[in-house]
Amino acid sequence: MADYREEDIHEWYNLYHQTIFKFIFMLTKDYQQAEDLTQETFFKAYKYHHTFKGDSSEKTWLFSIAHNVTVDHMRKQKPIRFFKELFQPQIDIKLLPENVVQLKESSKEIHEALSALKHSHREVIILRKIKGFSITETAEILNCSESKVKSTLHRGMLALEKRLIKESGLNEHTK
Amino acid sequence: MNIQSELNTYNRALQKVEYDLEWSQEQADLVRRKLERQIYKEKVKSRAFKIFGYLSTISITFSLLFLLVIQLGNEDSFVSGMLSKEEKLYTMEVIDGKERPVLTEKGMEYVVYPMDAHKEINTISGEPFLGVSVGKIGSKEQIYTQAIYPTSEGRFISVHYSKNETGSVEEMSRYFLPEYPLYGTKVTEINVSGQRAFLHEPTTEYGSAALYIVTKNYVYYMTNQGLLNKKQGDSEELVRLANLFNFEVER
Repeated sequence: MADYREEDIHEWYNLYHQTIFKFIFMLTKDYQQAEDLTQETFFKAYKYHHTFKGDSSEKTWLFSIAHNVTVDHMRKQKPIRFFKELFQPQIDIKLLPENVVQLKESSKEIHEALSALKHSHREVIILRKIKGFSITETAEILNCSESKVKSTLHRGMLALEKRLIKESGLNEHTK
Repeated sequence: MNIQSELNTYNRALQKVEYDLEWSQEQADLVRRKLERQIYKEKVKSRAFKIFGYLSTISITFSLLFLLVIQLGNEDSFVSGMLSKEEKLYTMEVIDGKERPVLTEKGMEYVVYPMDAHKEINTISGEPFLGVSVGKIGSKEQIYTQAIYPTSEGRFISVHYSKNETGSVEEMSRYFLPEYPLYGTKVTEINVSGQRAFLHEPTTEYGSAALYIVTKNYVYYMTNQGLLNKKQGDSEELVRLANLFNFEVER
C-alpha cells in the first residue's frame, strides 16, 4: 500500500525528473552518474520527506537535495576525477549516447563553454539563467547568501563570455 | 554589439539549453523503477526495524518481569525456600527417623529471633530450639520458623509467626486492638524495635501474657508455655525478648 510520501515522490518525479537530471548532468558532466544521483535525490526526498515543511516550493527543496547529493558525490570522487581528467581532460559531447541524452546542435557550443567553467560559476549560472530560479531561491538551494549568488553570477557570466569569445575566435581561426 | 545585447544573447542561449537537452524517457522510466524498488526496500527495512523494536521491547519487558518475579520471590521472606542451589534456605534432614526441614546457613541469616537472648535476659537459659516447617502458597514455598526459648524455671517462651495477609500494619493491628474491651484482658499498644506491638495481659488469675507484633509481612505471636505461675512469665520478659528481634532481616 503506497503511503502519502510515496505518492508525493511519484508525483514529483513525474514533474521534475527531467529538470533535476539535467541539472545534475550539467554539474557532473557524466550521464551515468547523473542518473544515479537523480535516483538518489528522489530517494532522499522520500526518506526525509518529514523535514519538508513547505516553507519553499517542493521544486526548490528537490534542487537543494540534488545539489547536496551531487556535491557530496563529487567530493568523494575527487581523486578519481583528477586522474580521469588527467587522461581525458575534455569530455566530448559527441560521445554522449543518443539513446540516453540528446543535445541539439544549437546548444552544444554554450553547453561546452559552460562545462569548462569552474563548478561554483557553473552551478549559479545553471540555476539562475537556465532553470530560472530567483536570487533568493538560488541562495536557498546553494545554502549561501544572496549577495554571494549575485557576485558569483557576475563573475561566472564574465568567465562564460570570455570562454565563448575564445571558442568563437578559435572557430573563426579554424575556418 | 554592446554589452547589454551580448548578455541578452547569452541569456537566451542559456535558456535554450534547458529545452535542447533531453534525457531519454526510456532511461527516466528505468530510473523510476529502480527508485520504486529502493523505496520498497526502505519500507521493508523500516518495518523490520519497527518489528525488531517491538520484539526487543517485549523481550526486555518479559526479562524485567521475570527478574521482578525472582526478586519478589526473594523478598517474600522465607517464601521460596528452594530458590536455587546457591540460595537454598533449608535442607531436608532425617531427624528422629523423620525427614524434617533444617535451615541452612543462608536460611539462618533471615531468622528474626535472637540466638543469644540468654546473654541479655537472665531467665532465658540457652539458645532457642528452632522448629522449621514448610508450607505452600500457590506454587511458592513458605518457610515458617518457630523459636522456643528455654527458661531456668522449666517453662518455655514460644514465638511463631504467620503471614500478614492484609499487607497492611494498620489493618492487621485492628485485630489486636479491639474497639471494645476484652473480658479479662488488658490490651496495650507498645513499640517493639520500631514495630507496632500489642501486649495482652490477663486481668484475672488465669491466663498468661501474650505479645503480638505486627509488621507489614508478618504477625509474630509470643507466649509462655508450660507456665507454672503467672508471675514467673511476666510481660516485661516478653517485651525485652521482642526488643532483641532483628526485623531488618525479615524478608
